[in-house]
Amino acid sequence: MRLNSISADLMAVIRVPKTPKSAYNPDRPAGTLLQSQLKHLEWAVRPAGARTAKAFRIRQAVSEAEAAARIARLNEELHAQATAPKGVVPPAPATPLSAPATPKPTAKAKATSRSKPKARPAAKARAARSARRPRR
Amino acid sequence: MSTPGFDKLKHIVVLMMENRSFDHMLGALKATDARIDGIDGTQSNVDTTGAKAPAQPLAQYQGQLDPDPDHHFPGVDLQIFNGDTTPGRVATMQGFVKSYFSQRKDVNHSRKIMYYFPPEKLPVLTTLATEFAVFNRWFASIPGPTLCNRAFAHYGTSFGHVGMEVFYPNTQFKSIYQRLDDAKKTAKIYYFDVKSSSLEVVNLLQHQPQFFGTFQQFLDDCGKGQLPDYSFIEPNYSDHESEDGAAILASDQHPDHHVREGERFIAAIYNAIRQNAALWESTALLIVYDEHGGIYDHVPPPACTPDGFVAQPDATGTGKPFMFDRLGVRVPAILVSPWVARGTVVGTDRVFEHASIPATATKFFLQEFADRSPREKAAETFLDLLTLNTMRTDAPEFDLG
Repeated sequence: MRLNSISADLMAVIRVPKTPKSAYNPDRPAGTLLQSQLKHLEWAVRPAGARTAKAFRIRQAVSEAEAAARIARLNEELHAQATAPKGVVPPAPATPLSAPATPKPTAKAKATSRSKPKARPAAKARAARSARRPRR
Repeated sequence: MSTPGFDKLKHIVVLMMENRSFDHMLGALKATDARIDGIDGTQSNVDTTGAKAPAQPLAQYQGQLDPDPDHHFPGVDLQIFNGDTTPGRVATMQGFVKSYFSQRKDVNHSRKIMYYFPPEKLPVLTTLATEFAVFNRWFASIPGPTLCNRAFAHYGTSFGHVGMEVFYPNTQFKSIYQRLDDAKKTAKIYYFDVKSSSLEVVNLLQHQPQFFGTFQQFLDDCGKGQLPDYSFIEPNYSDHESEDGAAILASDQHPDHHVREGERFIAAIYNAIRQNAALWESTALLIVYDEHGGIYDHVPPPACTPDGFVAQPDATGTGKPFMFDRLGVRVPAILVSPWVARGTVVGTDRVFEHASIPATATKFFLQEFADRSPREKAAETFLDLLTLNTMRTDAPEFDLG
């Protein structure tokens, strides 16, 4: 692809090869940076009173993919909190501080998962999140 | 200051990559430009057998720096001072191999911490460095890990932190985003996507969504000519699937992520600005790395203006307090603008650090702002590098295929 919008007579074009597909490894263990980011985000979604060091313990992510999924969910929760109208109680955190990544299904979601036992975990998580989200 | 480039300037864009040292990424350029303070063949450490471990151009994109080299405060202290804890100690940069050996107890593997990239393996970074301005003395703000160093880019200080701790809101100095917003200027942090999100969590907590966008939004904003006055871009920090199931590679270049994907990310940002003629004319792009990631560099970090904070011994892990009076290890930094003279090498007499980022943005957009950290007030700024009287038309372009 050339940058046609720029006219120039001495423009070098440097080809940058694609990264090999073999570089992709979502199962790579999540490193310190991702674990710290998760911890910070988990801290940020808590009500202020639950941010004390004593109360604050989270389960570490095993893989980069797991960290990414949890980070997306926490980012979404933060966004919902920030954009909620004043006076509206923000949604409860999706997971207790030391609980597994997948939220516990609500009663409604449980019923759904019983009727569809082979539902994917991601779909179950979405259903649980949706059930908890305040209706506007 | 008034030059045509400075007068045209409307946007400052900062891209902060992860965990690579100057010598590792750009040190090889000394072979073709003696003004660049890189590798000249004399640099080495001694391994744990007493053998010389020279710096060699054998760095690979991936698979070489596993485990992740130590870059926490005690580890970096060892890398810089080689275990010397006496008063009046001298920074020798002789402890890198020793530090890396402590992680895997493998002598041959520990020597790889000295490896650097030949320029042809990093066509994007080395081209931008030689075509625009490369800094000989840009250091991490703290001899420690990512988050405290990134805090300096956002706030001009880490508020006394030297590690990866949670940063608390309501700190005494405002972030550069808040300062600009208060002055009716526009500022945004573009994180890659929601699965990568931001490392600037306190602002994420307080200012969603007005201070944040995704990388796709950055590309869209460039195309539409709607870039904010100040932009800070975060790369992708993990390998993960996109919403439609496509494989997305980490682009932060943090070991052991593939370095070429970071090259492509840098090129994509450059191209997005370059493609919009009005934006290209009015934008300065700074590409910088947050810290060295435990990888060898030969330049001892200098002393600096104390930050007014003290990190206690239990926080530093060295048994001694840290007064924030010394910089971290040197990192790659490049300033891109069509108003920068080709082949600009910022000399060794000018020392920059991450506090230079908010210092520069504040000076340009606000002129004065009193309530800033001592480190930021003392920090060098870099827009004087837009020296040309006529805009260049010979800037390179990258074909990403």
